[in-house]
Amino acid sequence: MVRTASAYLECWKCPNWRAPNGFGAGNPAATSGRFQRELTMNNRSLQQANPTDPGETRGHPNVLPMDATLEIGGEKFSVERGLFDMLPNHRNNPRDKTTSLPPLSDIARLSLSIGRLLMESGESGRIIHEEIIRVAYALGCDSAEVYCQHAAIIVTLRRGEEFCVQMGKVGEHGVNLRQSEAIKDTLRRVASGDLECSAAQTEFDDVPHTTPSYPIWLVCLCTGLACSAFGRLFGVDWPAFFPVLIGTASGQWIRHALIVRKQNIFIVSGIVSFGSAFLAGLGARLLRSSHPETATVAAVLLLVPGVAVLNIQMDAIEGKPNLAAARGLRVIYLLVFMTLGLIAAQRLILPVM
Amino acid sequence: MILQCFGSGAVALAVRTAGQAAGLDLPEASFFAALVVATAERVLHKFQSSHGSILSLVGCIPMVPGSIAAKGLMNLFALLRAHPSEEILAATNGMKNLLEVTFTLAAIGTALAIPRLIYPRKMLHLS
Repeated sequence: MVRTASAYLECWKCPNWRAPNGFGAGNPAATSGRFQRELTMNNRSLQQANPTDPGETRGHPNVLPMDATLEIGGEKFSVERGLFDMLPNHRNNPRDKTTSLPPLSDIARLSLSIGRLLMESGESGRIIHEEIIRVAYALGCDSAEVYCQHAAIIVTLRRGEEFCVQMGKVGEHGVNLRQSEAIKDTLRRVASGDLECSAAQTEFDDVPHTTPSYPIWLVCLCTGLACSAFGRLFGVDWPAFFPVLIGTASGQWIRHALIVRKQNIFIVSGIVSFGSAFLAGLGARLLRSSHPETATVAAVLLLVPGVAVLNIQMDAIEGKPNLAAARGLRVIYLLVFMTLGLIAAQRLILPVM
Repeated sequence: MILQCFGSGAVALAVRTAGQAAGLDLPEASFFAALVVATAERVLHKFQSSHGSILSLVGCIPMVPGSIAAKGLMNLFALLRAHPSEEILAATNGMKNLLEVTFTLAAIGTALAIPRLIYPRKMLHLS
């Protein structure tokens, strides 16, 4: 007798299916079209090739006829006798219970580490929410709720009758997209089940130390080139190009030195603004540039918090106004200190108008 | 990745410059530039991929009007020592610059969000 496709167990329809590779359970719309096509083709192949053989899987171990029996550990299981629970990726698979789920507190601590690192790397609130929730589900939680603030993150995790609420502090917000990518690579491995909770925690703790960074001289040089190029866009003449480059590069070096010593970010902004604008304006005047004022403005552009400003917009649009407001206030203070440094340098360098 | 970021920024500035040459204001031109970059990034990214991308964000950083913000704040500080006949001019210039910055940033942020809201990236967790 040839079995029809409906007689085959299609596990992605089972509400208890814990799918690998992210295919949703109980929701065919959540699975990819490719997987559905493969499943349908596999069913047809089984019908045509082995209409009475329940065991062929062709890479989909859980495509089985409904009246099949499966032998696991010397014992036979059928659909009536808990076959669902014995399927490799089934949530209630007792074999999975030998590798016990991590404690909720460990998952919460991991989630906070992820959120803190992503926020300190300059990610928006939506990314932080999504990544924490993804990891929580991958590690066996039933639900996860995240609340991000500028200086702290709160995570609530639930699994069955258990729940856990933890709060973690967030350090100074910066921009390090390379570190952010390293974090997301580790997150993908956790989500795909290749990395356990404890090993992931160790990796995340090491991320700030293991993420490679560009040499400081290259960062200073590129910053200087960027700001001098902006100066040219603003109309600065060629005699002021190199003073802007040197002023900006020096300012970037000063900023790096002060940030490494964990100085207040706003004071740093004022000092760097003054130093960069002073050097750029002085050089522009010595080289008889006709745009020394514009040169001083171009030299402080390294302090404009571009990523933070864009994150404010994204957070506000995506429903996180508290985080957006806190970031916005920080940006305003940075701009105020930058402007104060610029004004002080212009008072010294530029002739009184 | 560096070259892709370089290209993203270049495309954004090119579209903005073309928009301003066509008579658009800075916020309008920035909106279209950010929309082009964000749309291109979303369309060219792998379909059904859960991997995020930073290209549109990086490409829009050069469009952040930092110098206009600095000028706006400087005009407000100049208001403090302006002569009585120049107060209104200093205040107007300062507010004009700051409004331009606000509208430009709002335009860039909105344009960056639109493609992701219309075509969100695939989520891996159960929902």
